[in-house]
Amino acid sequence: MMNSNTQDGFKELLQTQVRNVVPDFLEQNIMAKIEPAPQKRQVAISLQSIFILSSLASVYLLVLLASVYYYPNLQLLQDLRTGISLLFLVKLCYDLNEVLPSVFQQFHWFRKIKHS
Amino acid sequence: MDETTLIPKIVKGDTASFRYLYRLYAQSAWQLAISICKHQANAEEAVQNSFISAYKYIHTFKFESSFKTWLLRIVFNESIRIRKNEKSYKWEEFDSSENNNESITIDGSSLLQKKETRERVAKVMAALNEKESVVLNLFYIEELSVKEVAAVLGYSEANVKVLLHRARKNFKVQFEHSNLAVS
Repeated sequence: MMNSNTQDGFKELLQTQVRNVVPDFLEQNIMAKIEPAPQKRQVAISLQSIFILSSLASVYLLVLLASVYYYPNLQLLQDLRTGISLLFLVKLCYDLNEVLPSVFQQFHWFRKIKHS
Repeated sequence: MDETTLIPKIVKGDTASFRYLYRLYAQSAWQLAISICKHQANAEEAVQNSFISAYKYIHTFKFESSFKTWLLRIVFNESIRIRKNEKSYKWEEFDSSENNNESITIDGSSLLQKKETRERVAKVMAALNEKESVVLNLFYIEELSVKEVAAVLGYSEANVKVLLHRARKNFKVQFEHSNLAVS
């Protein structure tokens, strides 16, 4: 019995067969199933940001009430109010910077501007 | 790049290395699947499922055999599993001639002769029983050793040798018979 696959003439004969071509889409299908899906960008403002912004807004309101009704002439309270409102704005801008691009991405005009 | 460098990368999740490995072995996997399933749609399913399983369980590959043998074993099992479900599936006959993309730049007479031989070989291979055509395919076309064929099919080496002997004998008889029919 012959064990070599090169000496008995079968190899040459069998290799005359045309090899069936692997369909191209198989590679795409397989890779699509094993490659991890890209992580979705977070669209909503996080709970933490909402908490910080609402806390700043509450403190601002308290300081506003105090400065209007109880200590109308106290400069410190007005400076505090300005400080809190600036902090609020900075935090809001920071969060919007994270959120707005993915929100605008849904609009055709934004994509057009971005790619032009 | 060889499989000893590719596989650890794939285990770490490098899908580009797996793509490279796919391109290396897709043809062999396809050839085996089509020889068992006999139908393109089923062969596609078998190859796809096999590569996905191979990716999923590649961390269990211990380099005790070649990756090709390990993969072909998965393809073989998957093709057999699909074949067993064929009763519930209406098959269309697979036409292997539609993928004929071989380019030959020899003179007309040898081209004709080659085509004739090819058709006869294809006919004889189709007439052989499933085990015989698979074992000839793995041994002569995929050029696996008897040991590797045994690993793929899950048989002993002695069984593979007997099967090969029987397949060669049947092939020879049918090929000669087809020769007489042609002449």
